[in-house]
Amino acid sequence: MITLHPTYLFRFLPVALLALWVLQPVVAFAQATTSLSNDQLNVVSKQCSGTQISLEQLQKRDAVSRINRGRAYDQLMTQTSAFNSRLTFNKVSVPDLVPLTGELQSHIDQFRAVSDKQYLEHLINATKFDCKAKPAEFYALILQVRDDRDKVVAEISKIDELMAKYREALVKYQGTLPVEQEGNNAR
Amino acid sequence: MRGRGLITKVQHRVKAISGRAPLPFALGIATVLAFILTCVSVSIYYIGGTSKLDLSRPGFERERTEVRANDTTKVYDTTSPVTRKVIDEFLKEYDDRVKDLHQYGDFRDQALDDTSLQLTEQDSGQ
Repeated sequence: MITLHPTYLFRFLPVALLALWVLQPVVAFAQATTSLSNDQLNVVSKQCSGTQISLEQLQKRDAVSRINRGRAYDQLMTQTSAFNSRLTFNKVSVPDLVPLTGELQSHIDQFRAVSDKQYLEHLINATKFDCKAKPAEFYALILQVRDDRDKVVAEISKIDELMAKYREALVKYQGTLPVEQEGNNAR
Repeated sequence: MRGRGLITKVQHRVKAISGRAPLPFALGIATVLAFILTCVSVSIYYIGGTSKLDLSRPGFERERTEVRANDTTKVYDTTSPVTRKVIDEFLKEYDDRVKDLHQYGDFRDQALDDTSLQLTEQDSGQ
């Protein structure tokens, strides 16, 4: 009977991880379904130099959007976290705010991960791909980039929704504060 | 035992070389270390994803001007009482920040459509 010693597992783990890393683009290509006719593939092959220039411009534009949004989200999180601390210090309990802030932070992290590690990564790969020789793979890569961009949009939509909910919860709490107590210590 | 012998042999050899020409030896070590550290830094730059957002490279001059400057870190009061007025002030700043966000690209344009990427049949005839 063959027994597998644990040390073998540790030896093969890096090899398995390396193989996964190498095969990742192949799997991605396989996932993206490309059912292009020969005529369409010829069009892709002929036109793809222009496509890659457009993709390069898009990459520059979206990198700026990603940086600006990232910074703006950070500042918003600093503001909301400080306000949550102030509420806690004053022993004010607004049940929705803390979980909403946590969820917001998690989606901001997700926005960064999806835009940097998936969308921009695949977009840069597409700008450098040998599209004339492999039009089908190039088109599959474009489909992948589209899918990644949709994921970024989904994260932005979720962040917008959570920001609106945070505001709503705070306005609701504000409504419970008696007007006559304005300026008094709320503790 | 064999491994230990090899280590001792290498140690002797290193001592002999460093004893004969200490300055070239030190320079050689420094060069090798600098090379290794540079390789590590460049790997981190690419693997960590910084390269994708690095607009300080040549060719990104126009984009650099579009990046918003990092605001000076604002210190918020976290101990004073919470009143209606305080919440109004908070919401005003909050709304301004949300409004700022609408100025930035939201990745929703149709830049990846076949037409925008010039991948349509009618474009091929041009």
